[in-house]
Amino acid sequence: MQKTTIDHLSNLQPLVSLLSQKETQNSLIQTLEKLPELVDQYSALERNIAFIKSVLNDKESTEYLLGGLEDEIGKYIPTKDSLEALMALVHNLPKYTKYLSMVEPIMEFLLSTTRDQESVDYLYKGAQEIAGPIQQKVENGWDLIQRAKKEADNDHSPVTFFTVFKLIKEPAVQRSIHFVKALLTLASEPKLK
Amino acid sequence: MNDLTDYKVIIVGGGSAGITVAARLLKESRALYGKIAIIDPAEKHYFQPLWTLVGGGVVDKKVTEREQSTLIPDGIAWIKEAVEAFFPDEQSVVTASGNKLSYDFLVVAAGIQIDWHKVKGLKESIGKNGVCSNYSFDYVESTWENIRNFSGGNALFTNPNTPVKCGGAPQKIMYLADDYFRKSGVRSNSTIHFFSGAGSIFGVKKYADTLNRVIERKGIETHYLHNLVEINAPQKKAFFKNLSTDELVIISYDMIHVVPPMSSPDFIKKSPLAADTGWVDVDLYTLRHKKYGNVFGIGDCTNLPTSKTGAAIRKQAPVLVQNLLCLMNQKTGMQKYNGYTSCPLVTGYGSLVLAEFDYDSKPDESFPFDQAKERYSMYLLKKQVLPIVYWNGMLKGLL
Repeated sequence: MQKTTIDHLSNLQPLVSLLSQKETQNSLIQTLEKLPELVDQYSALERNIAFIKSVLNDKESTEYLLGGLEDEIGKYIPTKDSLEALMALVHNLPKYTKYLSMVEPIMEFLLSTTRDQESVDYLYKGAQEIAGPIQQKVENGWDLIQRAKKEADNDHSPVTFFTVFKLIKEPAVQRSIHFVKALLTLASEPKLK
Repeated sequence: MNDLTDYKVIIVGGGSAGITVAARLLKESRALYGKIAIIDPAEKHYFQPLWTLVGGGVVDKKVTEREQSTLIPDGIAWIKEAVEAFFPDEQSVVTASGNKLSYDFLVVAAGIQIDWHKVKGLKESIGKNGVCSNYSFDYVESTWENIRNFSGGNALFTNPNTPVKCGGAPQKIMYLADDYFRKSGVRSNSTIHFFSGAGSIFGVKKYADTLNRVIERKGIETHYLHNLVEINAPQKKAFFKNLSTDELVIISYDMIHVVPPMSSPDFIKKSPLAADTGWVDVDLYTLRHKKYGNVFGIGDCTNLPTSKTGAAIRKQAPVLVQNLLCLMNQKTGMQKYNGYTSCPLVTGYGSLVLAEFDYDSKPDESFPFDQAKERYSMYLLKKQVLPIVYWNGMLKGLL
């Protein structure tokens, strides 16, 4: 049986009722306002899907993409060795954390000291005070050697038996000879058990 | 940050103990950032253990002083005021300006008070007429002046019968003076006297044996149980009370190095936190107050029966911090302090006995050699290494 106009109108009654509600009208207005934006976004999505479809259909591009990824990922795919190392690392982490916690304050202390100019100055001055007398002794000794070398170079007189005899009588030479004599005597003694 | 009146932790005192505890608390719990306050009016901070060597003329006093602002850890509120009163039942303190500050936990690290006024005539004469003392930044250079200009006669060195900070300091400067007098050629026409309120040279036998040999070698005359009570600077006379007989002994001097009497700070003495002796009444091992569970004490202001030194504070601070955090976070694992303290006893220019011991006066040494022996290496440790450890390790909460 063919529907009459009244039948159609009565079918539309729930829609009319819905459209007459204020909230529905506001929502419709907002939707219509945003429609151009939605259309733009839909178009962009459509273009992206078309691009993906095109790439997937292009066998060469797919192989290039996947091949490149394999090269990159291949470096990071865990081997048996690396997994074992990882397990060992995780297992020992509490121990390493303990050691690191012990080292950390020392590192922080050293960093803090190097950044603290007053402490650096103090340490430098202290080091100079300690090294000063030693440096002076070394310099004096070096000066003595240089002077002796210069005098020896300028002395062209012949070395005679009497010169050596006179030298042997010098207390410093006597002490050295006594020392060498004692050393040789001790060295030649049989070792006691 | 300083506008707050309610803090999770308030630390009274910004000296060695206060700053060390603050730095360690922040290291252990970043959640406390901005929730800890240090109350201390002092703008300057001093590394006092070097004052012996300043008095001995080998260290410039300027290197012992730093601006407090450079040492307060980031994240700690510094309230530049003096504390006037404690109200532990209300969990609050009141400052000199009447500012009331509340806390969940309180750490009392207020140091020790120097009672110059308790020796008649001392306050007026310090730094003049041959009277000097290493126990003040202002007068420490007067010690070197006196030693350097000493031309013979009576040189007196005193040690009071009260607890003092760094118990070895009264004798260290005497050994340096003896050394210098020998170098300057005046030792043969001078007499060195050590007047001490204590009964012996040192409380730990192992180190006392060495020190008695040093005294014998140097020809120093000791007078134990003699307490300085008065100085007459114009007449250059010192008055000592013999603590055994109550007799008054009067000695003329050409120079006198005075270690003043010391006590707990007055604002602690009159507070509910004080024991009968005036010191903060804390548990020997946990450093927690015996009556108020959320209060801790550390360092010179406490009644811990150990020598009052920076080294003791270095060992007390981690224990206190751990125990405070245990309470705060309702966890177990309270630690115990064993009374460790250390006294680097300078016995001359370039020699030192590093005494380290615990509550039982038992040596608790750090190095694998006999520390009772006088050593140059330990002298260098005190002079060159310990100041750096203090500024960059201890005060940063690291070492």
